Amino acid sequence: MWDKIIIAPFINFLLWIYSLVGNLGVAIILFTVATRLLLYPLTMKQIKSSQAMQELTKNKKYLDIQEKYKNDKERLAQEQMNLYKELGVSPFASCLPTLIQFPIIIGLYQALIQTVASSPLDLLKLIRHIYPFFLNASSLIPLNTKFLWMDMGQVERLYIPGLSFGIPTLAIVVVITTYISTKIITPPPTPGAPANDQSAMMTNMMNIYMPLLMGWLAWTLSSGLALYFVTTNLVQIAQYAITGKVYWGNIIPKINSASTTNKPGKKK
Amino acid sequence: MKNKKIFVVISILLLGIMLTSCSSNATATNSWGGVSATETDVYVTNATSILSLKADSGNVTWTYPEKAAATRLFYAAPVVAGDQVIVGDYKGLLVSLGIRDGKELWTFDGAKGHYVYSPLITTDKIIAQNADGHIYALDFSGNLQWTFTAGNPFWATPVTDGTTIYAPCLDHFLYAISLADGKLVWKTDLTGSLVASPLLSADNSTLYIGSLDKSVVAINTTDGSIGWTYKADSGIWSTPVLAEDQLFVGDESGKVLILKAADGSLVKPVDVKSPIIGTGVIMKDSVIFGDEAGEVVSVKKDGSHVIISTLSGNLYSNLVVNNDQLYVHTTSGTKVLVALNSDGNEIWNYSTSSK
Repeated sequence: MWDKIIIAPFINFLLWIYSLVGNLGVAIILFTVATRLLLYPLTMKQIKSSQAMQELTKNKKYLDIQEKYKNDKERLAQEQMNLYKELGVSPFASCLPTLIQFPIIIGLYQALIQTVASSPLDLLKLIRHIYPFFLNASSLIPLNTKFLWMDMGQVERLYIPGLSFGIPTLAIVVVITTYISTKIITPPPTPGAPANDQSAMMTNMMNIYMPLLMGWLAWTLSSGLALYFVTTNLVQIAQYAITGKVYWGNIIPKINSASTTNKPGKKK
Repeated sequence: MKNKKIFVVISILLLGIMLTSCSSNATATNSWGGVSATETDVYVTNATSILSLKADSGNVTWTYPEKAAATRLFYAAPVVAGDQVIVGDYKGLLVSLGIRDGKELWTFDGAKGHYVYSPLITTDKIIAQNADGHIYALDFSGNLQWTFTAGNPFWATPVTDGTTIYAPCLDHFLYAISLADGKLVWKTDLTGSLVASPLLSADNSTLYIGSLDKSVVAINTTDGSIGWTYKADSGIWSTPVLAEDQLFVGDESGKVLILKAADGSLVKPVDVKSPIIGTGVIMKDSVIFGDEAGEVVSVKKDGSHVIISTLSGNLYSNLVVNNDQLYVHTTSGTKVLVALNSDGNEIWNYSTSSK
């Protein structure tokens, strides 16, 4: 069921793009851009909900509640929920689009793995996923998996003469672009806002661990997937920029963030 | 706000776990293994290791490597060359093992792709085709003699008539290459990827090969010209089997096509109903095939067929017969390797729980 509904359409779409361009690397880039555009309404909803939640933290009522019930966590949570209801904001509204995107991301990942087909069993599965009325499998195979210095089916390493090891350039780019895409949507602390240590800690954790996690995936998985991650990040950064609320100033870490005068970055 | 962040962090971790669990190694490779046999021993790949088993009992005599690693995969059947067992892994390392103890004798690390099927052993060379698009000719000490480059993956084992090797490639071409120096003799476009070895006729004049372009083709070995083509209903993953003057070819639609070797005309299609991926073998007066449903099917010359055994898992690997014993390697089955007699009765089996 999962194969028929999610993976097979993705594989056919990716291979259809491949049949037009003749290179799997280029096809992955175009495929990623196309799928991100298809998911754009969901992404926009997520960004807007997230921004609404960020605006809420500057709301006087919200700040008063934080101060008033700072020693009573249960009551604080209850009052916060009441405020969310009153203002028509749902803390989960920005999570739902993420949740919906999950199966799509997993499906994309599996489609890419199967499309690269580096073993007979993978190739057998790939051929069975191709719609015969849509694409001619035998004319497409073998796929041209070479893109720049990379093979989309292999782990990416750039070998430079004189160096005894390969540089995982794509993994490095994945870490950098993931860091930027998470940082630019994190608003700087509001002046006078109560220090919500747990929340700030969580944000910082996410900003550090997510790029590292994505970088580790790109380091260990095939370069086709790493290319997908990089393209996704770049498209995501562009989408955030279009919404007009990005904090470019966050990209460079401040040495002492607690004492920094809050300039809301270069808000676009 | 706090709840949302916790949710996002947990989601990211879950996504990471899901993505990595889909892939135990760099390329998420998974495939079917291979088996080969001599009079006394059987050699089998079991994904992360190679095993030598006694042919009469199935008892393990040695395993390689001593410590299996999930990142080092073996799917190509090990092949015997004198007192060595030659096997390639999915990281591009070709290894020679001592036939008696499985100790490493030498390695060749010149390839950068998978070794998908076993190398060809000739009188003085090891011809190792690799998915990096090269064929490497080595002597029996592992020294490189020559390299042939096609640029696209070679999966299937080439065949040779003693002077020329015939190598099928995924790029749709069948390459004829001089065994002495690796120079191209001719190449023929068969319009579909070639994932199985060709069959060389006894007089070395004709090659029979199937392709993923749903065709079975007879090729003249002198110049690569096509003698005849038979168009099947689905892709051909296996090598044709020649029994007297008839070819038995399994296809992915679940049919065994019986063709006249002389002109490629269809004698009879035999519907076994489950895809045939591995190459069959002649055993007594029948041609035996394994199918995707786990059935071992015996097909007679007149097209009558009978299921002689049903095993758990898929039978994708090439069947091997030796000393009236049929060796069946299963994929995703409870038993890795099963030895059957010609009636389909089990003689012994090796499973991962076997000692």
